[in-house]
Order: sequence, then structure tokens, then C-alpha cells
Amino acid sequence: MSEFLIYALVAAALFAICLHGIITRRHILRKILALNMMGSAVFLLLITIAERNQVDGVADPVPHAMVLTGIVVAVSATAFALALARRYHAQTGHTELHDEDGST
Amino acid sequence: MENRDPIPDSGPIVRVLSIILGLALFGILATAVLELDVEATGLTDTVMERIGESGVDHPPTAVLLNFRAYDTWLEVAVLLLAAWGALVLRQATRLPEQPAARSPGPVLDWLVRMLIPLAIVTGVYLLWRGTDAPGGAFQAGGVIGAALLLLRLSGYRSIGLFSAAWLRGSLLAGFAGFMAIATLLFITGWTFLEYPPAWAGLIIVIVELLITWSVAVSFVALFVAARPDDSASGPVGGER
Repeated sequence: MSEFLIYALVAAALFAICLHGIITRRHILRKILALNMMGSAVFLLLITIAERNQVDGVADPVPHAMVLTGIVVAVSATAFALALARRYHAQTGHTELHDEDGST
Repeated sequence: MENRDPIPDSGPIVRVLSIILGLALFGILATAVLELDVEATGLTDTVMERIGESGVDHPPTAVLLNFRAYDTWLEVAVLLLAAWGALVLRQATRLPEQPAARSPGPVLDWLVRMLIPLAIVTGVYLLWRGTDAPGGAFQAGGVIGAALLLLRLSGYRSIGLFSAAWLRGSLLAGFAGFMAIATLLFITGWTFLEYPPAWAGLIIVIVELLITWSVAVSFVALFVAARPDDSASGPVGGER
């Protein structure tokens, strides 16, 4: 199996594991972390593609640039999610999502 | 509240269903990945052919700030929205001052005085190096933002000094500057976000400078605004 496929399959597995995390974990922080890791799985795949596409030692700059863009977007989204989570905790005292009637 | 039982995760049925879903998703993704060519050159040749027109020598910088400037422009927009959203959640137009100025102590005080100029020099260097090596606006913004945070955490006044207009202007600078330059060129006959090759280098440096400042202030704003009020403790009631 080529190096490219190993990394690409690890990225696919990481993405699926993170989906499991988002569904089964109740704590908001864990859900946010799982979502963030999901992004990292995509970055791993893009970096693998950049590495595969290299010509004369220059990695493909397009997927490379996409990862750089993606990292900032992921950081922004995570930070905003954390701000929302803290606000939610301050307002309700909960660290997991509840329905209007108080049931989980 | 901290002593409460850990929150139970989903029950066994949800877990099993979720594992099945995860395996199915992995199967789909793995099939997609296995269909990719193991050897390819992608867009490397295309970029390297035209890099002379981009105004910079580092391929990823050329893609980020010239060939695919749209991505970077909207990336700055996402960062702006996140920082703005965090401020809105706080219902604040400026960031709170550090509560009570603590005495940093001689060691921390000395360290901060040494590190802040070093961080500023490193930030500017990273920004400049971005034209021909890894580096650029976001890395530089990260370092300068960290310097602002260090000042704040060690009891100095930093971001809290910004007036509402200054804070807003700083957050907006990258997005608005990028758009202003693109619009100006658009009016003078270029495609939106296309740079004349002769001016591309200068335009990229100006845009990167503005983005650096916006990124630094946005990171600090996100960090500070996400913290609940330092004076308030426990759940806030009846605030809305």
C-alpha cells in the first residue's frame, strides 16, 4: 500500500471517528473538539494530496493554501463555538444541550 | 456545580447505531479515497508556470494572496464574523479592561519587557518572509496577537485601551482594505481581485499588513470576549 493511501485512509477513519464522537458525547466541549478534529482529518487529506502532487520538490501550493485557509476558519469557528458554550453555561448552568422543557 | 456527576454519554442503542453510521461513512470515504490517483501532479505545474506574475516567490503565498485571493478574502470575513459574534454575545462594543492591575513581580515583568519587542520583531519578520518562504499575514498576526495577550495576562493595559471605534476599525481593516483595493482595480478595468503583475508585490504587502493587524486583534478579541465577566461568578440570571 502506498504512503499516500495510508495517510488518506487514516484521514477517512479520523473523520468517521469524529462523527461518532459528535453523536455520542453529551458534553458541549467534547462535541466542539470532535468537530474541530473532523476539520483536522480534512486537512490531513489535503496535505497528503499536496505531498502527492509535488513536482521537483515543490508541493502542490493549492491544497497547501487551502489548508492554511481552513485552519483559520476552523480556529474562528471553534473560538466562536466556545464563546457560545460559555455564554450558554453562564445563562443556564448546563454543559450539555437540553430541550426547552428541561429534558435531555 | 463542579462536583456534579459526569454527564452520561448516549445509551447503548445510540452508540451502536452511531458506530454503524461511522463505519458506513468510513466505507464511503475510503472508497472515494481509493479511487484517487496515487500519482498525480495536480496544479503544481500550473502555479509554477505563472508564479512570475504573482509578485511573490513563495508558491503558497502566491496562491493565497493572488491566484486564489477570494479564499483569503472570505477567510478574513469568517474571522471578522467570529470576533464580532463573540463581542455581540458579550453585548459589548469594546473589550473590558483587565480587572485590577496585579503586580507582575520582577521576573515576569522583566520577561514581558524582553518578549514584547521580540514578538513584534518576529511578527514583522514573519510577515516579510512570507513573500519567499513559509510565513505571512496569519502567522505574523498570531505572534502579535500573542504579544497583546501576554501584556494583558501579565496585568498591563493593552486591548482594553482600544475605544469602540478603534476596535471595530482594527477588526475590519483586513476585510475592508482587501475589498477596497479589489474594488479600485475593478473600476480601473481589471477583474475583481485580479492584480496587475507590475503592482502585485506591493499590493500583496499592503493587504498582508492590514490582515496581520486584523488577525492579531481578532484573536485577542475572541480570547477576551469568550471569557465570562470576571466580576460575575456562577450563572447569570435575568440579564436578557
